[in-house]
Amino acid sequence: MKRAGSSRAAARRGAFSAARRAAYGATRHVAPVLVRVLLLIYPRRFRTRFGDSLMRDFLDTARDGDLWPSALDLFLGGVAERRRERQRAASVRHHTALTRRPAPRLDRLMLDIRHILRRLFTRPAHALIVIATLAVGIGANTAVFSLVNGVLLTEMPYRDPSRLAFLWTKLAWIGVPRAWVAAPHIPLLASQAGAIESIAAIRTTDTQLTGSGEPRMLRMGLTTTNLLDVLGVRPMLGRGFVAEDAPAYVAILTHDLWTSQFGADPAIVGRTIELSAERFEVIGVMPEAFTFVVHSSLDEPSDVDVWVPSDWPLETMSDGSFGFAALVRVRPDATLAQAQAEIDVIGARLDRERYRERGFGWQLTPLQEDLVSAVRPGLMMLAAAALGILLIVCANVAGLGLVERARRARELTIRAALGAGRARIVGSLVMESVVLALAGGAGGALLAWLSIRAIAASPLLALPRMHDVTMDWRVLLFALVLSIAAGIASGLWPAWRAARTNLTATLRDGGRGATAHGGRARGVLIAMEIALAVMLVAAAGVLYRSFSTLQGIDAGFNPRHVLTADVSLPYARYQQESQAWQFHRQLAERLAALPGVSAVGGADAAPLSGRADQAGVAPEGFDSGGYVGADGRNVMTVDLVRTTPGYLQAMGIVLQRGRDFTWDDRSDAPRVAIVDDVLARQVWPGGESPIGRTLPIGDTKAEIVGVIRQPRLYQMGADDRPQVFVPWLQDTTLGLTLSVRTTGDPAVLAEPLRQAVWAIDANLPVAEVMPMRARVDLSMGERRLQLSLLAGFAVAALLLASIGLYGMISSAVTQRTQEMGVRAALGASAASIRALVLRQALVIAGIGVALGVVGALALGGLLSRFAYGVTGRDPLTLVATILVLLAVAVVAAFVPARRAARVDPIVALREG
Amino acid sequence: MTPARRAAPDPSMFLPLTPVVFDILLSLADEDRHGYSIIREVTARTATPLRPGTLYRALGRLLDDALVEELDARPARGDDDERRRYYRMTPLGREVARAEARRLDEQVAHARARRLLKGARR
Repeated sequence: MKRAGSSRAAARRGAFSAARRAAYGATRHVAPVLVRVLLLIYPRRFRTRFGDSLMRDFLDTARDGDLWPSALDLFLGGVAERRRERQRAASVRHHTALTRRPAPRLDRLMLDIRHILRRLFTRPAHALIVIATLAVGIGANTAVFSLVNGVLLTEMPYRDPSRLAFLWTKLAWIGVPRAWVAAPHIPLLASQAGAIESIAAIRTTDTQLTGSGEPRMLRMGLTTTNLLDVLGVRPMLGRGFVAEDAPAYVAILTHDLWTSQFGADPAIVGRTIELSAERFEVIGVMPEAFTFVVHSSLDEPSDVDVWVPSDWPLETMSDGSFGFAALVRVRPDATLAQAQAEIDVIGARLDRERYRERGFGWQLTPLQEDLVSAVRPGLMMLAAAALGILLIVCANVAGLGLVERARRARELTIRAALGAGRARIVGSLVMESVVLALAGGAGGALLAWLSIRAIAASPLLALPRMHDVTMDWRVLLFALVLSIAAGIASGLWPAWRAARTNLTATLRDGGRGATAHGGRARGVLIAMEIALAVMLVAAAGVLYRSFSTLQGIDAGFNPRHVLTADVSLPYARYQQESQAWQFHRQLAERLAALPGVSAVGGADAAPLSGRADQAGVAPEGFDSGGYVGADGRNVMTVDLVRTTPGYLQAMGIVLQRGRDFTWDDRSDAPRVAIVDDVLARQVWPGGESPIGRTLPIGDTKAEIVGVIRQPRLYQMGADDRPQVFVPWLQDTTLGLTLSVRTTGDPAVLAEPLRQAVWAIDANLPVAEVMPMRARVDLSMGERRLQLSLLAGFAVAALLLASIGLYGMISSAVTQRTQEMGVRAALGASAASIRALVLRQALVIAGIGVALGVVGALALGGLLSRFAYGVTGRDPLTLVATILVLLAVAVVAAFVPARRAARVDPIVALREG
Repeated sequence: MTPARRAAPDPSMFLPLTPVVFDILLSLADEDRHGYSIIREVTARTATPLRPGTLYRALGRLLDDALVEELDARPARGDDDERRRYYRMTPLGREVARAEARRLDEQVAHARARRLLKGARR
């Protein structure tokens, strides 16, 4: 071995001259920077390994005068090394992704996801179809969940809302489970029921807002001064009521009114507004979240616009009139059940002493429950339907997954052969479908958001608490969890099947065996989809039939060609009855003179308004077996409607016997009344004529002059309690709903109607000017919402199931191209081949339809509660559903069937 | 050779070597060197400058393939810069270099046989 020194000396002698070394001086400062920068190009692995040595050697070389060529060499080397490193990493990644490597869990997850994304981008069409399908399923569920969340789950914005309850009166003997509360009962319970902390009494009424632009009709809430304390809310601006406010004219505005009418003016507090022609000082504005809804005894919610305090002498008012909504707060140390037990005892005592033990009592209903219990079944039905959609979607995606796995059988087999465990393969395949489902979930959340906005914007689709329906974090979390669940549900089966396939067999025949096997599994999925679609379509059919039956139903009035409007007179300017009479008589004459008008009338409670006053009537000879009035007679609770002459004709209410009221039936004339057929049947079951009989109403007596067929006051298709009409001229109220019957389109009369009102009194608000038909539509908002959503789901189900069937038959035809070729070569006609394929589709569809019909029949009982005029197992609907499904199946299978029939045997056989 | 040791790879699977790799192996054939020493030896011998970037990329591969190893202990010498890393050819590296030399020798012999060079040896 030679000495190192001699070779070093040789090097100096050779390449590096003293001159070049001198030139280095100028670049001496450049070299260290340059080498550091250039080293950054190199992969980190290389830098840690050689960085120090390389830098030193580079500086030595540079000192020898070889700076720039060395720098260029370093640069090019860095680029090359980086590319090499990338290739090496890719191959390692590929290797680790394919096999098992004891990598940290998170690393592996990221690897998997990157691997999946890369693969998805190679087959974007497949990914897009899956994502879109999942978006529909997750979107439907998220939309329904946001309704459920907003309406049923979100707590109301009050202090400790679970301690709040509405108090209802039970009048068992007349079959009224939920009447309002009699005034003296409120202080009675407040003082005697220890578990009750406080009770607020509430009434609502129409009022006119004047002096702030165009006159406007508002809903006024009159309340005891403790309402806000009972609720546990504070105004956003100003102050709440105090006891001293009760006789004073003060008002608290809701946020809605404040923004819509007063431009959210922060200086509103202290200003004076004019309500019912009287001046009220605004003392506060409620926060936006406050939307306290008072509703009448049959679930007709009404939003209150403005609150004013009242000092009713509750103790001394009548206990025979159940006219107050009562809101109860239970003490923090008591439960609702304890409070209920206490009031049950007090109620039983009252029942004995006052109501002859005929079943008087009270019921506390939790506030939220009270508001939403009526819509819960409907929402639950929608949730079930949405779940059905999701199952179809998952089945469809799983079906696509089976095909996709079959296509990738070779890849999976190679992975298995390279040592990837079954769990690892299943895991990464499921991960793949979860990634797709998350993308679908994002799309679904968007869809849900759009549909919620559409529902909220449509006045025809109604739900209580709709303003609480938002896409909050709970909804988003729901969508996320649902996406992951859907991803696992739709991915697990195909993945498990894929991992089970026989390695050697698959490798040998290039994956064909696995596909054929997947076909049968897919058939099962498609049959399930079709079964679910049958159930959804049948349910939508039943709802549709109910809806159209209801729309066409005779509800005791004729809504066609009728224009309606609410007019309410301010007490301050119409204190004398005669003033009101004069106004309405003049108005009726003006309206009757309009072209095309055939009848004009008014009533204080229009059909479907759900706002009638209740009264006790004591028909002669009637034994209610229950509440007995002061004069010892049996009392029946009825809805009392005050009408003007001409109302029956204008509203198209059928007068069965007797006469309508006239302008002479005034308070200075003998009292008269018109009863409905429901009352007549109950009181005179023998069919005796009520005409001419005396009917005690409250503390007056009226002669029955007519019998009408009952117009529905609350809902289309709901059976109402008896109604009694009395002349408005004998019991004058300030608010009336006008009805104007025309020969043509009622909407064109809207402006002439307003002008007619303002020609008599320019300061009157004319509200809710709309055809009666529109009121009918509005009253069916919840049903319409149910129907729209369910119909949408049914269409989606049909589409998805037919796409699934099409996809399956189509890929089956592709696989069997060779077989079709053989058949064609052996003389099978195109028609017979087509029939072969169609038969395959129809067998699957038939199985699905049969299962679906069984399911629809099983669920029919549950569906019946949403049905009207048909049963939940409506045979006509079922038959139509079966035909639709089979037709869809034939259409879906026809395209691939035609393709099969067109197979050219020569081509098919050559390719096979 | 201990029984536990793996069967040595066949040197021929590394062939042919790139000129840079062969030059590095040649410069390590007579003594263990650090990087700068290799640069100067190769540059002087071939009159073609070997530059640090090229050197270390090649060294990386040689180390990966176990043709060269890094020394743990430095040669005890006066001029030893202890911060420098020294490299030594492994027995496999020597086999590979030898195989490459033989290959080149055969190539040269062929060249001579085709009268590209004077003085055919065979």
